[in-house]
Amino acid sequence: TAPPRELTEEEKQQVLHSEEFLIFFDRTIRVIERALAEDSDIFFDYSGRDVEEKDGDVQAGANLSFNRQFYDEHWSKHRVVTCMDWSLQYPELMVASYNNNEDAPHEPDGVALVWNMKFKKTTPEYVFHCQSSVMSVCFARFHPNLVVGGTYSGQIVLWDNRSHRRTPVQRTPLSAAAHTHPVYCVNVVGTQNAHNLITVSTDGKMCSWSLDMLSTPQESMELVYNKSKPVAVTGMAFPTGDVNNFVVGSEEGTVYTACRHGSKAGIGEIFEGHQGPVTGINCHMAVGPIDFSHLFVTSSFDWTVKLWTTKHNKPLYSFEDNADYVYDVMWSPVHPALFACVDGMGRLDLWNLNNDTEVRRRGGPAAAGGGKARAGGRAGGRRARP
Amino acid sequence: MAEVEETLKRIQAHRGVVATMVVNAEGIPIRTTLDNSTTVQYAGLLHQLTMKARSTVRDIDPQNELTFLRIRSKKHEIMVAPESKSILAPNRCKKISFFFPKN
Repeated sequence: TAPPRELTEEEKQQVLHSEEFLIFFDRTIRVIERALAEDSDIFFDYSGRDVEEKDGDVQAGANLSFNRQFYDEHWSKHRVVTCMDWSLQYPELMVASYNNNEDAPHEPDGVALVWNMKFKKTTPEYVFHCQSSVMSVCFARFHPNLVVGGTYSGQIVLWDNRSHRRTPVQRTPLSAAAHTHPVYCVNVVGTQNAHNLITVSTDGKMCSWSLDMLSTPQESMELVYNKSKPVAVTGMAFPTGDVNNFVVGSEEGTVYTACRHGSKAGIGEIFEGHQGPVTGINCHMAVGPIDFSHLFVTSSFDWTVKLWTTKHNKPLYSFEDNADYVYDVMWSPVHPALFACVDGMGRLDLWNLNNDTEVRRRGGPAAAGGGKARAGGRAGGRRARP
Repeated sequence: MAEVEETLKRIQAHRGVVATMVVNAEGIPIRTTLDNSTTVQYAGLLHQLTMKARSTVRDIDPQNELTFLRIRSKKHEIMVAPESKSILAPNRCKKISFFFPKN
């Protein structure tokens, strides 16, 4: 068929102005807009067969979408995010700790910012700082107003959001009785009536504190393997519901089980598998009819994430999909088969053990430098935050 | 008149809309957001398809007429809204076609 002739702009204008066209257009546009607003996918296959057929990479990336970025020009700039935690009392609040800003030597080295996800404000809810870079941070469980920071100097600091001060309301002493090495692990363990702040520094020293009195630790212990050298602890995790037994990851890449009290207090078994420093360690969180609390995951500079059980000293599985240091790994607090990990390329991956394959991936810059991954209360689905 | 242009812009800006075209009875584009060669291709193909759909409906039931045509494919959906006036001769219709990706 011959190509249709073209209309001149004048002729086109004539058509567009004609009464006939305007009536048609007016009526048709309404129908079109209603059709466009329809959202349902009548082709959705609940068996998942159509998703299976697609190449792994194609199905990944479809579901995670970037939600928000938390950044403060004054306090975040040129600082690396070292740790994150979520408030149990107010799920929209999260705290992030930062190390020092080399370009601003007169500013405090340690910063902790409490961000609010519920509102679109671009400034932090609370700004806290201290003298030494903050390497780990957590909301003090059972004390909703308190934020605990573990610093590079070994000092543990406590901030209180009831105080107008941005500096800590309490600090542990910088003495041999407490910590003198960087503290990468801070954790409040126990119950409402009986709990302690547990802190571990990279020289293997573990202290247990009462949050009312940080002047001296209630207990302290050196984490030593086989009575020889102390473990350079980079991460610590307690299985859900356990206040005595825990696992630690070390700079050497080894993982250990340990316990706080009892005849076998201290380091227990050695779990070998990683070939580089362990950057993250996390125990299974989702509570359900089957007890998975013996499972934990670790991330390492060796580009892998490994799945372990406390019952066996070799990994159950090694996830080797990353091409850079994996900086952190964390289980979903609600979905028993889901965990997230983040690497140096800024890639956030969600793994679903039920699917046996990588489900979603989101590329692009995560927190500058090393990102810490903390899957929040809503990480089961759409919004995992780098 | 500016209203027509604005409405078309609004439709085009709708989430998921890839292209918008207004075509006359003979399949000649009057407004389009696509480049020339693509427009000519789509206009020609859709014109033929719409004619066929229209006659199909009429053949099945002469009292009936085509009101809307939606073509769903893996990648897109094409919506064609033909002019439908029973008194008009078949070649006097105007169309609006929209293409947008499958949800």
